[in-house]
Amino acid sequence: MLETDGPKFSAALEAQVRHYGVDIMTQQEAAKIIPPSQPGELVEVQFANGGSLKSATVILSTGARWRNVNVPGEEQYKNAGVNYCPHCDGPLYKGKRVAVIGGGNSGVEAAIDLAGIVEHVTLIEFANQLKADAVLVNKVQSLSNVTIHVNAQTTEITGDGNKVNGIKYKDRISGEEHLVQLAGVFVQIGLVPNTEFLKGSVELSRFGEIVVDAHGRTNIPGVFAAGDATTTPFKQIVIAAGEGAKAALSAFDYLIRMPVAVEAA
Amino acid sequence: MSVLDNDLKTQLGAYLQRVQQPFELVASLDDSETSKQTLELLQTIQSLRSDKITVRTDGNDARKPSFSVQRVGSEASLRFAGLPLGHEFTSLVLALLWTGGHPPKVEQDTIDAIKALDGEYNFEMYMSLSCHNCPDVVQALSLMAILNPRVKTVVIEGGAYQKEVEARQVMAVPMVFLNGELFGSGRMMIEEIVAKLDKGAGARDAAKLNAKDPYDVLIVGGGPAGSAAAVYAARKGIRTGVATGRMGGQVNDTMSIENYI
Repeated sequence: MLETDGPKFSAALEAQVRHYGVDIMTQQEAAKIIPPSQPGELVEVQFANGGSLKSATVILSTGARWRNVNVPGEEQYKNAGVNYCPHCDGPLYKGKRVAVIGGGNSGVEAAIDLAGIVEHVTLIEFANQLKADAVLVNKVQSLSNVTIHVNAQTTEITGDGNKVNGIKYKDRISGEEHLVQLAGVFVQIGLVPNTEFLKGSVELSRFGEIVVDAHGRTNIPGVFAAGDATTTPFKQIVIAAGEGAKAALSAFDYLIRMPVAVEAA
Repeated sequence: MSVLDNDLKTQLGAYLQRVQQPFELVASLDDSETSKQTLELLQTIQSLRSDKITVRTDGNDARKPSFSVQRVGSEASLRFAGLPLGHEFTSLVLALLWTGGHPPKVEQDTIDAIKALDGEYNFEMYMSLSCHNCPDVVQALSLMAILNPRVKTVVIEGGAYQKEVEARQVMAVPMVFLNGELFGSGRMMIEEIVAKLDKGAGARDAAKLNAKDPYDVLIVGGGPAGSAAAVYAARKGIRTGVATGRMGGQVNDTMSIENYI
């Protein structure tokens, strides 16, 4: 597979899962996991709609979501100038000035992409250099309508009460505050794991990632985890898929070693 | 340059063979370039299935250019304002097929819930042609309008309606207004939209979960990790379930994948 896109890839995943007769329940948001009271009992997962499911083993693969920058104005102007999807919302800023927060691969890709549509892009990175791949860094540095600020800490997204009109950042070397006037801000600063509902039941790292061993086991017997929600390094699709396969094989291994058949509660 | 290149035309022609029932495309046009392109697009569609599709240019909608897709003799309930090309070409094709009687690939439960919605629902939805999060929402709202006459949907291409976009302060797409009020923004699946309109859906859904027998493997999350886990578990012949917000998870929000391996 040389190239595909997210929606196509996702549809292919779903088709393959359906092909094997897996019971798919969408629109479900997990709210709590209840570990078995003793080994061999069922694990229970409760959902936000009040329903619950029981299973001999559970694999947690809840993934991650865009990290917020958590400065004043971000929440207030979400979808009113604060955006997270450059492909989707870039065209709405045609001929305007925007900022991208984040100098990793996604931030630099966003800046390159937006530079072709908007009048001007300000790229803001907290660290002392852009962290993206060299080929992307070279490309973005070659663009005349992109201004790059490193050692820059975003302090506020400003607005007129209805929509964004600027961004404030602090130069971390000189301590000076700067205000850039613009119409839109694209936040591209990485991911945060979807694991809030596991706090207090499953062991999490200080970043909130589910702690897994080499077999994809968590600290709870019968509960496994895989993908971007875990401590496994590198958040790549192929790695997540491989970890998912591994967790399923580990779960199967666990099931065939269970001493007695479990009766439904 | 024509609106559709020859490849797209050929593809479209093949799809339109699935149209079973006649319908019409009713255009509201002005003198603009986009109006000319809209008319050309509609005439191209018509020429590919002239026995079932009629084009009328006597539409009088306030949004020009726009066109409705409707069964002959029925009221317009689905309208496209601006050209639904780019990422929305598929949405246009599906809207034509569904109006022409081709069955949608949506769970029967969802279809029943859409048909049972009562009340008046006027959706106005804004999209851009390069937005990969938009087609799901366009297709969901189109299908709802086609299935239930009380649901009216206008799909507005932001680029062609920049003044409207600015006046309404649409700064992110997809953005959906219901009866003039903001309904939601960002990618939404059809089940999610229906659940939001159908208040009793949550309790029914919970009861459905509670009635399930225990699984051997229950996977929470349906992205690449969860999907791979589901396939590997199910291939062992054990009872496998996936509970997730949406299948594919965050992958849906990624545009190009050039380095799967």
